[in-house]
Amino acid sequence: MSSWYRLLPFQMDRMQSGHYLCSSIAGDHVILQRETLCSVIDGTLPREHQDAQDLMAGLFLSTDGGHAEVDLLATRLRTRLHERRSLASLHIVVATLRCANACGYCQVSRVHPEARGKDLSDDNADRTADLIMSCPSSRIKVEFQGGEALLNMPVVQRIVERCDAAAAFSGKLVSYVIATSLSHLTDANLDFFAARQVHISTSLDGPQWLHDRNRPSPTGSGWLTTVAGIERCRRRLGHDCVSALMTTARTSLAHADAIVDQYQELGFHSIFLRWLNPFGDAVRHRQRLSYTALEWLTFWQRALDRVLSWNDRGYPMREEFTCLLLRRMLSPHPAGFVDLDSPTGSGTSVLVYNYDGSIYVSDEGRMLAEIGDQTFRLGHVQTHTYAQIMDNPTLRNMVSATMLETTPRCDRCACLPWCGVDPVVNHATQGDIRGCRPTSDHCQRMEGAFHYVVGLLRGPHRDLLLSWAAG
Amino acid sequence: MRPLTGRITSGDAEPGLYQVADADGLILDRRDAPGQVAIAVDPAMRQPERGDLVSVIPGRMLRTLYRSSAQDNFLFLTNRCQNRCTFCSQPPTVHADDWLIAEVLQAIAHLPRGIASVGITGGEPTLAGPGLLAVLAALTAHHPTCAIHLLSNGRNFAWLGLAQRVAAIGCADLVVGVPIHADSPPAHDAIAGSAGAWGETVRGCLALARCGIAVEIRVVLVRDNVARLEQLAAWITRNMPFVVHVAWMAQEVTGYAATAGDRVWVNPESYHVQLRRAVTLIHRWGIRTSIYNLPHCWMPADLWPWAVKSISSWKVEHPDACTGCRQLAACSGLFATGTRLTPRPFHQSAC
Amino acid sequence: MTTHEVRLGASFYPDAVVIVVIHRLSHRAGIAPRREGDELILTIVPRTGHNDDDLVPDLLQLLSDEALRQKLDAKTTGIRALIMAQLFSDVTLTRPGLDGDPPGFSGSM
Repeated sequence: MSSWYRLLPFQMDRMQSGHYLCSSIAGDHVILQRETLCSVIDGTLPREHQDAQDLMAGLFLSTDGGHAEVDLLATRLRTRLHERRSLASLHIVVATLRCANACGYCQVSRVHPEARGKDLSDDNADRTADLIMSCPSSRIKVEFQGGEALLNMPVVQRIVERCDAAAAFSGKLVSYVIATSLSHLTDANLDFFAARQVHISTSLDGPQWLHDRNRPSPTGSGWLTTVAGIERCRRRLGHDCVSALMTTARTSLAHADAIVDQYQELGFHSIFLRWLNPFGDAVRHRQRLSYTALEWLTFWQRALDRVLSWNDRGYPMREEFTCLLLRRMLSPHPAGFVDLDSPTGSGTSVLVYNYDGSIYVSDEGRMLAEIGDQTFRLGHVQTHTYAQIMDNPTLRNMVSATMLETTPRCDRCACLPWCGVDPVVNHATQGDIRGCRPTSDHCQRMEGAFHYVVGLLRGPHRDLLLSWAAG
Repeated sequence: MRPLTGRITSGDAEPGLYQVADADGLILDRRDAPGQVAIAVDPAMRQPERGDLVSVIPGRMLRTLYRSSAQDNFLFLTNRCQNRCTFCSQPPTVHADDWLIAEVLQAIAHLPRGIASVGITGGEPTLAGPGLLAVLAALTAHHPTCAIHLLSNGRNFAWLGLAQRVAAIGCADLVVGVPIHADSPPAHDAIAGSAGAWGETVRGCLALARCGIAVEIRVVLVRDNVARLEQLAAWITRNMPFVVHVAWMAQEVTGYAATAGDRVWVNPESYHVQLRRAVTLIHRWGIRTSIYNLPHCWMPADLWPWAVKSISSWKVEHPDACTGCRQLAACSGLFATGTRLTPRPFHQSAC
Repeated sequence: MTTHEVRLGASFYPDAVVIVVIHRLSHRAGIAPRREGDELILTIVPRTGHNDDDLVPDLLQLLSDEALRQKLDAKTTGIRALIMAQLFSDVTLTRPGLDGDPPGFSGSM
């Protein structure tokens, strides 16, 4: 019995509603009732069925031999893979481990501000800058972290100046971000940031009582310091030169509204709802800090709801994790976020240069090294070239282990075209860089998140979310 | 007899009498000035202007190949086409018409130096085969800075060889404008009047992009595709993110569009919502987009910024009813050749 | 220790289907399959904290879905390989001749 159409390969998963989320090879998606799905697969879908056009447009079905659809699907996949090579690559530089704060979930293995031997040296800084600028990408992003990066400003300045000089010569575009709690901010710092267009990224966990509980500070209130710092930065650098991130601690889970409202109150138009990864102090204080994927999902949905309602009230605000999901689902271009990519962006799109000159595949890889696990160390700025770093067998193993098409459960998941895993997190939580999905928090969280966004796209906030997706 | 191709050099004292210079072929009358042929043009016809390029059989036929006063000129390569689009304003013929190429090559040699842009159209220009390549090569040789807008259904570009040959000519600024009618093959093919059209058109666009040639998508708004304009827009952004422009085009009601009547025609007010969503979507993804052939009085005001004065100067009219309309200067006007829209002018007193 | 037993028609659930579902549910239960005659018998041992009312219904739903999924996969495995091959190929693998000139093109100028 011949059919008017031919099936193209696609993925399908049942949603909580009982409908089926189906995604094509290229990542387009449709939602079907089970009965429709069965008839699609059987070859008996009627030509005039209300879902027929969407199924053809989404490249689930082909007509007329399917040769054009094959070309389209192959082209879209090729485009996605090819464009990754020219993405802005991210280089994280740990200027120092010294820090005055005592954040409960600290993942840095920080040391006291007066400690010795935990700063990035001038010599290693120069080699780091040279290595960064030898990366073939035409757009480079350098992010300074710590400890508290401001405690080693001379080295931050040194690297910025050295990179800018190299960029002027090579024509590359370099942008800078400094992640800081703003606790040691001087006017001289601000002058430098203004002159070199350094973007500020700070931590804001929520209202004062919550922020200070998560992030104890010797000054008494880290929140006060941060808010004052934000104000100073905005005045000197411009309103949009400061962005804030939050980390979700166990206490945060019940206060989604308050956290979002705090961001709105402080004039932020963007909030990034992040979960805690199991590293550093977050593991040591697991009882107090940790939560399940489901608990985080509930929190995120509630907070996202709050963000959407602020938009409804005329205050534009975006949630960045949701933006990432939307871009992965709807954009033909790579989303440019190293944490969610297949194969992994760790090591391929991001590199971390530690205060001692060691090079790691990611911040998480560096955190593991601090507790004695050197699995993800790629080399040292004094001894390795960029080519040698990229040639490291660890990197190659990470890439092949994180191609979702080759992992059980991922390979037939409806979220396959959009999802990605972090091999370092897999290694730390499950003892294997490929990881095991049924027991994976990440899997449960991502599946829940994607399904939720799919639902939102069919609701009253569709247009708003589409505008987030397009950036 | 073969037509003569030449340039209008002057209008004589006698009304309707023109001199045609640089004509190839025979001089018919010794009374003509050397190298010139005099022709008489029926006063009821559009009168040629100095600088126009014409193809003429004296006493029988005059066709204007290039209008010196027009902003947009099109070189016409063939009247054949594989498609039979339901809205086609210029129904194709099937007989061979390769002689048109010779005419065009003549015209190219006489186009004004420094000409900014020219269009290539038909029928389907790629059916002229090597003739198309010759025309592109001649344009590149004589007018290297001229922007070329090639209108094509894209089907023959599914054969990579053709796309590569075109790319090899090295035009400085070539854009291929390709109509896509719908986001699914059966719907597109039904409007294109040809089975298999979608597959070849889509592959043609991909091949052009692969060869580094700029592609524009043109969507003619007809009864059978306006319900899914937003879906088509989304389809374009996902499957052809490389396109340089998307044009949403109201109909010229002539040719097939005229005879098909309500099977093709669609009242613009019935698609305002869809059009708005489609334009917004394309714009959000950073792709240039425009609305063609819709007068301001038939578009919602929030879409005016995307409206373009798209109707060629020799085809456009602003009927008497438009006099005094506030939007007259910006408006695209109506097709003189055929429309079902009546003017609804914005008068000073109205808010 | 609570154990459930589920009996299903063996012909509906090939091994390939059963294995995938056992893996997918491995965080909630250990499941041991055996075939007896025309029956597939699944012995289910829930893990601590996962002995809930949803376990068996979820299992049955997953089995049904996986059977459908593998039916889809069987029908599309060929064209999937073609798409992947096309992704990495410089020449057109579908419709021979598309890398050359269109039909009727005389070719020489």
